[in-house]
Amino acid sequence: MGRVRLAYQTKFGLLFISPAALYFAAFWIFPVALAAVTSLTDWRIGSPPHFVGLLNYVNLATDPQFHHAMLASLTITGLALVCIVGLALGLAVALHDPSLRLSSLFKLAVFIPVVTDWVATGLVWQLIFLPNQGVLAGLLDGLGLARWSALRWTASRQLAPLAVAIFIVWKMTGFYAMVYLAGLKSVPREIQEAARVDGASPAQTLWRISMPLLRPITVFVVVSGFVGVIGLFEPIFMLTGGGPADATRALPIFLYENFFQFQRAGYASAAGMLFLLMSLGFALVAARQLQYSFYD
Amino acid sequence: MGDWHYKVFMDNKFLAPLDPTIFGYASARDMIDAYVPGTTSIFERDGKLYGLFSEYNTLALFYNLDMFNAAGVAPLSADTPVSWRMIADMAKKLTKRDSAGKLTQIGYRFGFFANFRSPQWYAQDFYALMRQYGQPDLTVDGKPAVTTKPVTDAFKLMYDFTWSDKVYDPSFPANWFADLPQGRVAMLLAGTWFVPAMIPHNPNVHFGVAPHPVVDPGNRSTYHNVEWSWGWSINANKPQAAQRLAQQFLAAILGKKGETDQAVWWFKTVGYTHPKKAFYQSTGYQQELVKNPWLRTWENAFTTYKIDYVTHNFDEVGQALIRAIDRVVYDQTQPADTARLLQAELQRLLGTK
Repeated sequence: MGRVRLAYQTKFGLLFISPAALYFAAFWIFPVALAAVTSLTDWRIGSPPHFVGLLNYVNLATDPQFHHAMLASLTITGLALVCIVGLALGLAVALHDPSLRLSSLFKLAVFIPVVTDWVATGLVWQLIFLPNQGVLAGLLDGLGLARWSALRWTASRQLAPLAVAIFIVWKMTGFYAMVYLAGLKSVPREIQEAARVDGASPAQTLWRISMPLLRPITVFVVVSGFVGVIGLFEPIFMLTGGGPADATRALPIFLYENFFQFQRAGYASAAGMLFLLMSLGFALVAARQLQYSFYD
Repeated sequence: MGDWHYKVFMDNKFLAPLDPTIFGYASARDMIDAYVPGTTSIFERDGKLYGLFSEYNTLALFYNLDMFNAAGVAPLSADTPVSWRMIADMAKKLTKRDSAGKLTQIGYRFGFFANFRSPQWYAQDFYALMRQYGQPDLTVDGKPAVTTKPVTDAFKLMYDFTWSDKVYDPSFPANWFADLPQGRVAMLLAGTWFVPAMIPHNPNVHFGVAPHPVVDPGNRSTYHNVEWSWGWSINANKPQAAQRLAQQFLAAILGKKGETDQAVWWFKTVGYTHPKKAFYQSTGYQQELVKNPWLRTWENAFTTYKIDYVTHNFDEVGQALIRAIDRVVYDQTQPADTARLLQAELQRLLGTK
């Protein structure tokens, strides 16, 4: 009888997950499998593909443009991720403060960038970053930092990756702040109260009690943040288009150009597969740090 | 689609040849001859036409007359091109900084800048210069040839404008259609579409138009300009009936043999020109010429310059060219060093190393 009920539940379970499973298979598994196969060919869009084995991967290994794209990706992602984790945590702690008035309003303000559009906000950030006449330049002028207002945020090789990272941080931090906030709310109150009774300061409570318990949240933020940021195309395309002088020509731009502009579908697919493996590798290494129990 | 796509699309037989009879012509030759010589070359293959103009354009120099007057610079001739050196000298007078040393206006802007990294514009600006200095392409006989004097001189001109003369800054505020009429950029190269795009938000702008500058106005061999087109084409993979309907549609919106109303409409509405000989002879065009005398510069360009399409822009070579130009205008890399780096990159890309 129990077996029959289990099968019945399983059927329902399968039925309920089938839309998501189909979506995942059609839009994730299938494209990845197709890219894997394509990466072993010399397919140029419009020409018939020929099997070339691992030649595309060998060529990528010696392609300075690919190496540069990897470095640009890691630079932008590293800059953005460090800021996102730090700011998200800081904002979550501030929003978690029970004495904070109008907390709903602040939560809304923090989260609004998340639901805005990359392209529309990209145009706004172009204006913000304009040297001399931009919003940021005006702000710096107002603060008496006039000599900084001429900085070429999106037009200097050194600053452009930082400018892209700032845009990404602005857009994505709100989401991870809410994740941290949810994590903070799940930390058992009695543990925090016990710490306070034992004389721990708020800072000590945060770093010695809450943060260890938030470790799984932090791992999630770092892993999903890394995978999310490194694959971003829109902020780079909108703000710098990969320039200046290739300073922000990260992997998504490299893939886009090779596939759509140069029609090198096989080569771009191989780069995409390496990109996927890199993200997967990072996720696996980070996941090894994950501790599932809050109470270990 | 842009002219740079046509080779690949025709190579792969994605496009059906246009049927001249649907457009009222006796043959494809008759149809090609209806346009200014050379302009349809990008659409031609084996004597047939595989596309027809949505837009055809060459470049001419737009300048802000109010800025010229304020700087005491005399307006340019509408008929005779001036030298790049003269442009740089004028641009120096038109480049201004405030008391804190910040740029408030620049004398000249190339067609590429920080937020507009169009391969088309990088290539257009560079190819015109390279050809004026005497080299038609970045490759010779399929091999990279960019350490030559013409290519290095072209990089040097961009270098001088940016770093020696300091009249161009790629990071200067960049709103293509607003910077010139609003007094932030004094001179730039553009096509006929620039006017209808600029005027609606800046109806009081005073502008002039001059022919594309050249390396040496006294030397006709330096009179080179670039051309580009956007074309309408027929999908060869659609059923015959659909293809035929599409051809009839194109004939209706672009005009059959001798018809010019459509070309006038495209020009009046979006500033797109169709280089149909009949268009330039039509009453509609003459009326437009009265209202927009600057239009004559484009018509004269056909006889003033040798005009050619750009060879590399949206491909790997074009991308390498962007990197090279960026090295010059952002990193202040010397022209000879830039050419050497580009040569190495092209040798790797084209497998000739």
